[in-house]
Amino acid sequence: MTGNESTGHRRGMGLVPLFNLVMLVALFAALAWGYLAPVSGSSGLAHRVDAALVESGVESRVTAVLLNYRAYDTLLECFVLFLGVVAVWSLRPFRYDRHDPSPGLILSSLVRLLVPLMVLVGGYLLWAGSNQAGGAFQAGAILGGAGVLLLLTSSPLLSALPRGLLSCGICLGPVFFLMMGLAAMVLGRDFMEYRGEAAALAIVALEVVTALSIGLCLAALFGGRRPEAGQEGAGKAVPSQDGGEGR
Amino acid sequence: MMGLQLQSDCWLIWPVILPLSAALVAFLAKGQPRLSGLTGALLTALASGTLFLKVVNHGGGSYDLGGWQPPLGISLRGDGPAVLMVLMTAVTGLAISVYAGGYFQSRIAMGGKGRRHIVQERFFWPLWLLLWGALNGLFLSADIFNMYVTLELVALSSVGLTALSGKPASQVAAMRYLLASLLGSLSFLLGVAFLYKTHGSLDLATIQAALALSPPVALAMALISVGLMLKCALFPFHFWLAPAHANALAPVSAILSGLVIKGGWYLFFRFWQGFLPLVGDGVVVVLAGLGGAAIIWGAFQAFCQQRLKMLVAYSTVAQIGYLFIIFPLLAIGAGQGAAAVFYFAISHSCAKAALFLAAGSIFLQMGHDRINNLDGVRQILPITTFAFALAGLSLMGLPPTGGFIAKYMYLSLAVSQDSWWLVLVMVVGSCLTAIYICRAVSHVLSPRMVAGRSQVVVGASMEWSALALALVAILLGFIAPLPLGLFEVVG
Repeated sequence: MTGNESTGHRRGMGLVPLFNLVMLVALFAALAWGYLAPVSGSSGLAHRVDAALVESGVESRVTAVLLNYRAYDTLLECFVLFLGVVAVWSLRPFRYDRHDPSPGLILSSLVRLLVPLMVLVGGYLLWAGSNQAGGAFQAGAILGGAGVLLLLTSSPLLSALPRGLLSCGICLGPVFFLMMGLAAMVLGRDFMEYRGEAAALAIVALEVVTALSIGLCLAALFGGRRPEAGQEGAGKAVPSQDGGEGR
Repeated sequence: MMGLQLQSDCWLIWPVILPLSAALVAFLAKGQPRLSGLTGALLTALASGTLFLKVVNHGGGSYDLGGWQPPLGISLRGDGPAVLMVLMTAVTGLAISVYAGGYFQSRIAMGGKGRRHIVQERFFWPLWLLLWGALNGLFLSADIFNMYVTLELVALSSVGLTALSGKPASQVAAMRYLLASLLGSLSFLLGVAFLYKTHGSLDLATIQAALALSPPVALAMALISVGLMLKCALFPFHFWLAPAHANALAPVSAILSGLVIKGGWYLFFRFWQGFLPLVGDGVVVVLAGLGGAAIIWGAFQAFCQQRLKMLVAYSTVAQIGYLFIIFPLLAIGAGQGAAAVFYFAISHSCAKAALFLAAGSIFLQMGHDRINNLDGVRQILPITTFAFALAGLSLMGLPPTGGFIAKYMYLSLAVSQDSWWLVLVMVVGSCLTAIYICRAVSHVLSPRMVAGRSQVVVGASMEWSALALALVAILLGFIAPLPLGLFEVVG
């Protein structure tokens, strides 16, 4: 009886992975078929990107695409991050107890060493973005990582910072992006139209501000709950600041 | 000349920029989310209305963001269908916003558990305004990667709104919705990558002008279609819709069913305008077959439901079918078919939002929405009941409503092309709609009195905003020539 049931159960369970496997193989076969098929006469947009690089104000193609040619996409991506934080904060706080209230000497000393270095690396990546790989998102990811480390070790740095700053910092990226775009309109150009010398300045400013805001958003997402919901947890679960502004 | 052109077309960006900015303000203004949210909604509706009037009076236009022309940059395109969808979002969105203001006011006044409703309202406004801006961006976008970004914004904010009620049922539904939606987005993005690989451009018009059938294009077509079908819950992919839409807060249900679904469908339609000439009749019939199955299955499920909001949610599953059975009819009479389906989308948006708003008011007043125990609601909430019945009429497609005009156009197209099976599906679907709507309406209109809250907790703004939307759905039957003429306007 039990044996029968369990074999029936096993048979039923066996069909689902088999079906999934067949579907996966079919999907990969289809993707390979589409990917390997020869394509005629399309060269992408690389030559157009290069031709307009002089006007764009930066030397790196990637940065030019992200912050000038397709800055509108990047603006919306900043809103995606902001939206992520708003959505996570809108959920009811999830309560859990941390197993290790004190991070220990080694971890906290390591973090104290690492965080300034990470801020330095973030700053370097930001700077490097103007002529090679790097830029706001990469720098923001490093800063976010520094914020995560601070959160994990419940650094006293976090509880020392004013809470109102957090909401403002999260909005900062999208707000600044919008304001720069509108400023171009006020100056008689199109929305988000940056050219030449002015473009170089505008892009550097955009990168710095968005990198800070991205780092803060990522750390806030890791923190997981809205600040006022974690009153009883003191500063522990409150992602107040990332390493970028935490100095 | 060029400068003049760009100046006039900068109207295109405001329906996107304004709600996004308002969302930031509503998020930062912690004490007054309702005031900033309602102001933002009003400004957005005004900007959308202005854009609509500009396009009606001066014809469509496009706006190159950052001054970079496609294919290097991204452009917004305001043609007839796009601005109609923006206007639809504005009208429905404004009514829902007014309703939401009253809804949260009533909920907070009723008290209940702690500060829960205050927190809900604080996050409702930013999420809803972000969603509104993203939807407008989606309708106006001319760039397929940008469409993906707006689709992501729409999906994430919808999921956030779905989970807002905090009930376990809605959180489970939101999680499912998130997974289905992310899968849809990924599929869409893969399709976009294949289209870029073959055409070296992300501008939809450029791609569609050069579209030719090849393995990568066929694959892109399949991936994009499946991704978007998942997002708009077409028949085999409808599993996530009903619990997500029915368990959300009242204004959120109206937003999801009335507006969000149309975003995914709109992109599907835009892409298929280019795909249609490439594919054989078989593929188109499959699409229409799925639509037909959705109409019958959704209506049947709606009939079986015990809860009012579940009934309305399954009715959405059915109505999505009508948006897809149009495709075989598009292949021949393109202009008329497009007009019919957009007309259907618009009138469904108003009617469905009105139904959900009314159902939400009934739920709030009675404390439950079990259809069999809703007898005599009309004595307590006469305006809401009237709105529910009117919106139901439009959904059934009785004259002189907007739903009637749309279904009449569908039927005449189907008859003229001898697609008798489509005629049959539509007639059966409409009969089933009439049956399940009447089942609900017969209870709420019943003269019997039931025990309920003695005090009316539903605010006037909630009742009147639902009625206003229902009246718009009726009015659409009278002003049909005006929007129908807009389909000729190109971007």
